[in-house]
Amino acid sequence: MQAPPTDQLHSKLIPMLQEIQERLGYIAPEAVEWLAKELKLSEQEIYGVATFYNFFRLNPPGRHEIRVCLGTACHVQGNEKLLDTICERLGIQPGETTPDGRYSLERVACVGACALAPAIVIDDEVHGRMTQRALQRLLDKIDREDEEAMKKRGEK
Amino acid sequence: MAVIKIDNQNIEFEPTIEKTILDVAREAGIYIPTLCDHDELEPYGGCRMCLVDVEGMRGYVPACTTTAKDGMVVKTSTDELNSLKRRILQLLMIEHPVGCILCDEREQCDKFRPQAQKAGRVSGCYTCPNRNHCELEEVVNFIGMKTLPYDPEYRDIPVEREDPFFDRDYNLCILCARCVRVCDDVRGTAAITIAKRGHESRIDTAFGTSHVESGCWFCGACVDVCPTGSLSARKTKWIGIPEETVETTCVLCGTGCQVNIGVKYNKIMWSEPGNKDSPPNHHHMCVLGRFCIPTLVNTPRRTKNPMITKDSILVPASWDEAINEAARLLKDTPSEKIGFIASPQMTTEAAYLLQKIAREGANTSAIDFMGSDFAALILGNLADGHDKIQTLDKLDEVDWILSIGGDFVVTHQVVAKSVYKQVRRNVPLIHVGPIGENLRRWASYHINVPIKKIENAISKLAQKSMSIPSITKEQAERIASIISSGRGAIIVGSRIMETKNPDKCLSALLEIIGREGVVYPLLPLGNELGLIKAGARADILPGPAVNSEKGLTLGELRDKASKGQIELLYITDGSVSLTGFEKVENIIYQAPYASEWTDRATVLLPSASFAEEDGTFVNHEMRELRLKRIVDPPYHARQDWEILQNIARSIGLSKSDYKSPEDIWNELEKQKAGLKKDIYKRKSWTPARKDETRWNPKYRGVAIAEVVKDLKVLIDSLPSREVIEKRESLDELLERLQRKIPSKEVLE
Ligand code: SF4
Ligand code: SF4
Ligand code: SF4
Ligand code: SF4
Ligand code: FES
Ligand code: FES
Repeated sequence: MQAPPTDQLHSKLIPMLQEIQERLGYIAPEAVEWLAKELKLSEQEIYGVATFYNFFRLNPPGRHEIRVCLGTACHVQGNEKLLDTICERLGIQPGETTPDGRYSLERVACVGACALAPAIVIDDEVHGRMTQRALQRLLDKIDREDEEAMKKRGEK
Repeated sequence: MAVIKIDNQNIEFEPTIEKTILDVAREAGIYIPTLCDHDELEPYGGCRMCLVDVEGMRGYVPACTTTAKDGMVVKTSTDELNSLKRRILQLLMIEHPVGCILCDEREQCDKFRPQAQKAGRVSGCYTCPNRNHCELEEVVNFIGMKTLPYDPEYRDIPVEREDPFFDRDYNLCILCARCVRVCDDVRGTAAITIAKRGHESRIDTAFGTSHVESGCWFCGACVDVCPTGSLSARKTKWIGIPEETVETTCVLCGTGCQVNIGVKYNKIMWSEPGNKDSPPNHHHMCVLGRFCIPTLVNTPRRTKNPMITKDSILVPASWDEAINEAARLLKDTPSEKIGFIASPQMTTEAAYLLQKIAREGANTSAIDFMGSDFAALILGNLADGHDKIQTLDKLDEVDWILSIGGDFVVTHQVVAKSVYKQVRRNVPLIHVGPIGENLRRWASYHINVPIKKIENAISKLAQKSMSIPSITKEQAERIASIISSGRGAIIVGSRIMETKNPDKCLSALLEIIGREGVVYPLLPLGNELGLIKAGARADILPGPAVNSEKGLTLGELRDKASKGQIELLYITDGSVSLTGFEKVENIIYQAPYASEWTDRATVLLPSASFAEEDGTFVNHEMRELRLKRIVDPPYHARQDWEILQNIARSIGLSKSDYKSPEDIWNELEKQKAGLKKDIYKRKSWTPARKDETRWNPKYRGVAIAEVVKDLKVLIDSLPSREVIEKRESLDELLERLQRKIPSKEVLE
């Protein structure tokens, strides 16, 4: 029950949102506040437009970007459950970033790996035929690597 | 005239681009189910409940968005159409708590459990605050839906209760967007939006902040248009339906909105917008009238018993004793030592009686009321004007609007709604003075000067000067060209009283709008114009007419009192500050609320609130509006006019036998009106203090936020909505934010 936002102001708004996203990586609340004043719109109007289009992200990208595919094939193969597991493990919902900035989580539609369903993409690498165990192992591994990297940096 | 055939009925209509099939059907009394359509909103075409079959058009078309054309043949219900609608409705209802809709015992249940049961979560109609007037249910019943072909899926969104006044349960939401559209398109607030898209979409604020933060004014318009139980007023959601509903006038500001007061158990429990056709507000209100009235009239801070001072202690007394004591004081005190203070929130009739007691009984014109300067200044300056004060609908005819002396979006939401309608049709709005974010979005030009300097800015505008503070020369040129042609309207707020020369300010404004222009004074308190008509001011007689005798204004009265030269004060407004009056020996305090005056009173006369009295209210459009006695005043309180009439009789005033406020009104109507222009020209004005003009609405002795805690939450948030001009550039902002991204730190 929704029509795409149309208004001549939006023709001004969208390029500005794009610029912010390009330069900052995401649309921060402060940026929405800034735009509202600049364009004499309410923050809600901007938020409505920004969330309507998939290409705007409203959370800072994490160091590791996790994308859980919920396309038909992956959905049928139970990827929702894996998504729940990730949410629980990281303490965030899809569309959010962990407070330490390490992970961000996104739901996506088909990533073109249906034959390997269920698929999860982490940092642009597709991991197919995921299971609960494989997922936990994958995340453990990333955690370990990060920890080591941090240690090294600390020693320097 | 064109003809359209709907369900085999030929209907004649006047074709226009806006006239839809739905409009024509409605006028002919043919029902087409709708959900997203609302008569105040533009057609939306979202819910598909109004689909109709039009011969020669492919597929089905929504009646609400399809223009009616001559010769159309329309069917509103065919078997195929009905089953299509049923399927759409079923999809819509998957996420809605449908238990009660599908339940076989529904009829019995409605009979034996007629009222919504209180519950933490709405699990079906029987726990839904909307159940007694649900538009969704009506549509479901009409289309007929007895089964759901899929498993229902509860959205499980937490119910939002952290904001004042109303709860939001978006598990019931059908995304018809009426709330968003009324907030955006009619109220111009845009405190809510549809966030995300497709399956994930929901009504939300930016980043899910509270409504207090999102700029909501709690006007309640969204609650009133919602066809489901998603939005519900917290105070009234579980108390069923009123036994009786009466339309009366809200006196909490000068707009005088028509409000439907609902009564149950002999108590005022609801205040909802008045009827759609009732001016001035046409079913729209502000937070005060929409959500605060029941608490305000039912608060324990009401005065309860007449009291008199015996051996320097205030003790309960009978009405006779109290009236006699008041009359005795009035008779025994020398005229020059008596003062009267009326209340801009009392009825015009009561104020007329009070001035009559002052002038004819106590023989003095020492009478005034809080806020009278602004009202008198307006009326005085317009005295020989040409119908300058107009009704709000006349705004539809103006070509530009100039506003000054306060942010009317904060103080007068209903006026704001009328102005916003013009902003939407591109009428330029020029604002002079401080401004909040919301009004700033509407204003085409903002002359950003502190309130003390608006006088200077206005006189420059009047002179068509090109150097106006805070705007460029080009802007000044454009403003000059806008205001030198067409019909203009001036919205003038009471903060002009903070300038050194409010009368010069007003004259300059009148010069700018010229002969054709109209003026909308934003009276902050309520019945100021009624009180002027009643003559409740030293220099004005009933009519209103000029009084050449010397009286005392509120300021002069206070000065005199502080010197110990006032022995008796008759005060009907507890909101007036006591400061300066401490030395007054005897005080007759007549009001519906206890205040700092209560303890000082020699005689306390408990009076009715505006929902408990009959009388007349004159709003800022000079419209005479009725106040109705909906319930009896609580405890032993009486209506102001009754109390005053009794006193008038006791002091032996002739002709004081009025049977009703109408009698008083008729007497007042016989007085000849004759204000002269410029009678309020003063050599010097004492500018009003800012804290006196800041929005913190009061009602006869209480600051409303003191008794309505939710209102305090809103008022406390207002400073954050003011405009701060100095801002960073996009580059500066992005640089600052870059540094804050947590993942950057990890990566470094
Ligand atoms: S919104 Fe209407 S249909 Fe839905 S539960 Fe409430 S009363 Fe029933
Ligand atoms: S209460 Fe008024 S301002 Fe607030 S969201 Fe509803 S319509 Fe908008
Ligand atoms: S909250 Fe009510 S008015 Fe708003 S979209 Fe949902 S159902 Fe419609
Ligand atoms: S705008 Fe004024 S009259 Fe209308 S509801 Fe609000 S306070 Fe009452
Ligand atoms: S549905 Fe998941 S990869 Fe295609
Ligand atoms: S009323 Fe026509 S589509 Fe909703």
